[in-house]
Amino acid sequence: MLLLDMKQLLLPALLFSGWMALLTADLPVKGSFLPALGRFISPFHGIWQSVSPDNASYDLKGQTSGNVRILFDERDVPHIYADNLEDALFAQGYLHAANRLFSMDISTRAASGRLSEIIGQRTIALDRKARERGYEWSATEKAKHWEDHEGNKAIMDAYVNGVNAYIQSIDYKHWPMEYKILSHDPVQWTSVHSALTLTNMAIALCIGEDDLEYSTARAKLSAEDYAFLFPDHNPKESPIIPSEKTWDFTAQGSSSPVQSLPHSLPDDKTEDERKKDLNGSNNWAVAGSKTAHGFPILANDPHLGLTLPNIWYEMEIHTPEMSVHGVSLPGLPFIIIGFNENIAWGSTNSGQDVLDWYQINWQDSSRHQYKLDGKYVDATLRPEVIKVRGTNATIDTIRYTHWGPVTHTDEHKDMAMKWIGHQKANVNDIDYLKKINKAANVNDYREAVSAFQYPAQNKIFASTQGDIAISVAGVMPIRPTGNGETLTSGESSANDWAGYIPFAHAPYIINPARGYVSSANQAPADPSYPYPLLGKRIFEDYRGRMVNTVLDSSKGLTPLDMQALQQNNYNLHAAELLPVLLQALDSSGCNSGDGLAIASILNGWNYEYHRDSLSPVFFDLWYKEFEKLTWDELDNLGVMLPEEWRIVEIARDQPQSKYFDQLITTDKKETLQDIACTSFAYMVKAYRNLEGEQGKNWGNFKQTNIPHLARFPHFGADFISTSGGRHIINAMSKTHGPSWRMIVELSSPPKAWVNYPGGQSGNPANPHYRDMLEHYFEGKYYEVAIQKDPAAWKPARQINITPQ
Amino acid sequence: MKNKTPIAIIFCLVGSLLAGIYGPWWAPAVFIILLCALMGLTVKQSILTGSISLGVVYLGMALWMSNQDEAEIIQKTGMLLGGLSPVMMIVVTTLIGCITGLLSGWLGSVIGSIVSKK
Repeated sequence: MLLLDMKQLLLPALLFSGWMALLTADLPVKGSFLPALGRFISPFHGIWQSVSPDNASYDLKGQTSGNVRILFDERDVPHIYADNLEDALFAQGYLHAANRLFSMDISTRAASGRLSEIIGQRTIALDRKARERGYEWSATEKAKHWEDHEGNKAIMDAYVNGVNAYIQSIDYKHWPMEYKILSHDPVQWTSVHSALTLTNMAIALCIGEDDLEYSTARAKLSAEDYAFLFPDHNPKESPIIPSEKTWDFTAQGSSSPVQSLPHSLPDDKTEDERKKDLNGSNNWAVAGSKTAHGFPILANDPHLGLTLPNIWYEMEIHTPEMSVHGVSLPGLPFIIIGFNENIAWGSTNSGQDVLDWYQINWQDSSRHQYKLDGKYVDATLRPEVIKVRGTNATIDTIRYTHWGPVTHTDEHKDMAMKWIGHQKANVNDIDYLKKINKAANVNDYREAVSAFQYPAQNKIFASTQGDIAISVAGVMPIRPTGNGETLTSGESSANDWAGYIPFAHAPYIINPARGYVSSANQAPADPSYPYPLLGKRIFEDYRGRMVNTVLDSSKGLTPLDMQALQQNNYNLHAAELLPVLLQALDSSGCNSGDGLAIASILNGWNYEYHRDSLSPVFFDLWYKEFEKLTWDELDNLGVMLPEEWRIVEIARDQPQSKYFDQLITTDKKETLQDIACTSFAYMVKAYRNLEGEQGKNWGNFKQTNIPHLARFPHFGADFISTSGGRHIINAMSKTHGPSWRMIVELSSPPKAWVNYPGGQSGNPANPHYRDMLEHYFEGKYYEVAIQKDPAAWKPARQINITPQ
Repeated sequence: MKNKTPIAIIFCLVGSLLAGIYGPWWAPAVFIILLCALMGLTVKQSILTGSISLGVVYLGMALWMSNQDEAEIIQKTGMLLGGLSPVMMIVVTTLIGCITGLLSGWLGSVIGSIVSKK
């Protein structure tokens, strides 16, 4: 009887168990994973619940030592009013997690090489690169250092506790939807994660190294050609520190020449990929003598890869010691770029070379010992286990040398990476943020930026006391002459960095006679500066020259003028090259048909890259082909291309240059006229072949879009018609652009106008996910001022946290 | 009572709704097993009760949630999952609810009959 009953039970029990097992498992589908459908599709818990605009519980009673009030304005910008700094940072950590938890998680995973744990085999190569470069190792060192520093530990503990308070308050139903799609649990936040956020910033700022590309160029070009194509300075450059500044010191460190290693190296970057990175940022501060209201005005628009949600989170923090407004970086405490009651500050990237490659000479194929100063020394071996979702883990062994981790494997010719992020792991970098948020005058600002220990940035400043200043702050290595630009021998410690440029010697200026300070990633100083500065090919000078030209000739400036300047679309590069090309085209007599009409349009163009204009499309297509034909020799050799100002100079001054001669024709020596003509004909044809609406205007041609952070299709903004572009102050490209626009008038109290492309919430279902986008792309700003009295304004919503 | 199905469906609708709101995702299935076992429903009645109830609850809840944002998020998620339209997302959700309810009901009925025999 019992057996009969069991038989009766067997089929439904098996079917039920099998079905539930199916609903509980993540299913591999075409190299990806379908999340476990049981909870994912449940309308009570899964993706259906993600349509809810707000998923935070805000049950925080007893988690702070004092009272905290968080008032949100109509854009959902939180204003934190806390009894003490630690409580304010707890609230900041909570708000970061409530709005950007997935962004924080995925970006730190990318830096630590742990993407494959949640994504699978597709990201193994990325993880391997991150592990090889030792990013997590340096972040761990940094976090340990914070633990040992009483002031920093309290700050980081408060912030980390805030993040974890949110994580602990949510269950699956309230997870950010990206976690549900990836079927991955949020993990507890630690100070190592925050250090990885800083590491991520250091990686993003570390773009000023082309050692391998320069090595190849030196190996394949004659010394004469190399010097001609890659000069140290652009004669037209307008450096950050004006020439009125005198340098009353001599450079410290070794000056013994070191033989660099010209070496033909594999280069995995295409020219387009390089240029894509080179979008740039702007900042300037104008003294009261040049403004309409007599107050200094500071402007800053850092350009980054644009994503939804945006990299920044805007907020205002009030504690007994400070009241500050600006953008924060989820994962880190404090405001990164902003203003308080006395000062405003901002940043652009300096693009200095803070990463060098050293060739390692191994003793044998075991790669355990390498040659240094005449003897073989042990490398430190660190096993790295890369966990991969859905399959076995991958194990790598990373070799650490005197120089740093060895990353490139080419039989016995490996290269070790020396990077500022490794060398400067043990620093109090939280001090910079703490000090700049509280700074009240120019002396406080200088003290704060002296604590900035990252790849150099151009830190700009203005105060209500009327001072303006700019400092090239950060860590800049002093190298033996000839070192750093190319691959260097790792056999001698004499090739090592000879320290860092002392803070007092780093370029800076306070209240210059010209009445303004500015930077747009150009050279920090002219050749009279005692230290050699590298990173010359990273950013061109055009934006910096434009900013300085406009500010030189301006008086009675207003915040509205500053808004217009941030959105200036004049292309100085086009203005200098196009007349030369049109003249060459005209004198060649090769133009006819459609080409005549296009040339006529270009002749009447004002060099404005407006989204509705057609001329930028013609120039862009023409220039790309002209550049390709001109540098065909370099392309053939696998050598990187020179800076773009160089092609303008050669076209203008040397129309018979050998570089215009084409490799593919042996019976003829081409000149500028020939190349202008051929590339123009190509442009006419390419324009005719453009598909759909692409040829309608610049906005349609450029196809700006803002992808979702994790590249989930349809969760970003698919197409936005935008003005601006490369070499332009409004350097909006296809997926890069001004990630935050800020203008501060240093009246008492200061007034500011801000905007960024996105919204405050990281939840795609929240109305604040992208509510500022339209306003932003219409060129509009939101006026903000520090609201010191919480009773003086009416919030859209609020959270109150009370102690036990 | 001659035909327990209508009353069972009403109990099941209310119960699985509450189990869904307050319990984990599998709580409605457990509730249906228990209900069908305790009410002594036949296999046919249980299958009908379970599949209709959970299917309706899933359908209703999916419609309610998608109405919150005019199905925008569900449309985007569906695209991510191989191009499913919002209607297909609702159909798939309802189907999963129906099958889970069906199998839970069936299992509950068999357990109920075994227990009652003892």
